[in-house]
Amino acid sequence: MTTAEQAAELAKSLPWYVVVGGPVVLAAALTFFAARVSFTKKEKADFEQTNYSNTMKLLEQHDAAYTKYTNAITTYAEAQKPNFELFKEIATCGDIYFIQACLMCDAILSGKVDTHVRDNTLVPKIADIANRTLPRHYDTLRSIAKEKGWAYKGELRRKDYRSIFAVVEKFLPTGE
Amino acid sequence: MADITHNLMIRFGLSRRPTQAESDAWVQLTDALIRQGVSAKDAGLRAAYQTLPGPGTKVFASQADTIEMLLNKAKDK
Repeated sequence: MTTAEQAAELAKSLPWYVVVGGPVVLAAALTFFAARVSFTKKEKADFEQTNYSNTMKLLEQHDAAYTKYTNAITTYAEAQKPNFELFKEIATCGDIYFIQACLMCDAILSGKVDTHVRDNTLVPKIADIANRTLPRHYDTLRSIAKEKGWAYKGELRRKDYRSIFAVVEKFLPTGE
Repeated sequence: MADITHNLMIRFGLSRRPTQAESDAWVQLTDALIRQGVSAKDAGLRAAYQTLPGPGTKVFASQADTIEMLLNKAKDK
């Protein structure tokens, strides 16, 4: 029997709706899955672009908070007679700088940043903040407050900066 | 686009703070290079030499260095 004859034999034995509907369903299924494959590629490109935009936005906010913080310290350091108001401004702007760093870390931990910028730029910044800036900030404020007799109870509590320390522990090899 | 002009100046040791246009051009070129498969660090550097003013001209302290220097100054008041 030729293939055509075999096919005809098969078609006769099956109900009509399988013979007609079968190929239609198969074609539809193949189209659907083909669309899924190409859709995923575009999704990936969009995802990477979104992460890159997120990263640039985070850096912009980081720099803005840094500028406010350093301006506050500079104002205090250059004042004729530094007072408690200016001192409080350093504490407040420092808080904002560190909160912004925590938000950056949350984004890093959620996988919402460009991984190359994360490793080359963001993680080193966060490490600096965790290992140097945070302790130095609190030490300095406590020292100034003690010397001037101002009431200041700030201290570095790791639980206040959980995200920052989580990023350091996750992304830096031990010993850095 | 986001204002990262200050960040770019520090990162690449530019001779001056770039304009918003130069900064946008840097972002686009870096993005394009990354899509071509260049690593982010190399892409940023190559784009800087093509789009930004005087990269490598100056050496800036890191943010942490500057903050520490200022805090010391405040402590001495």
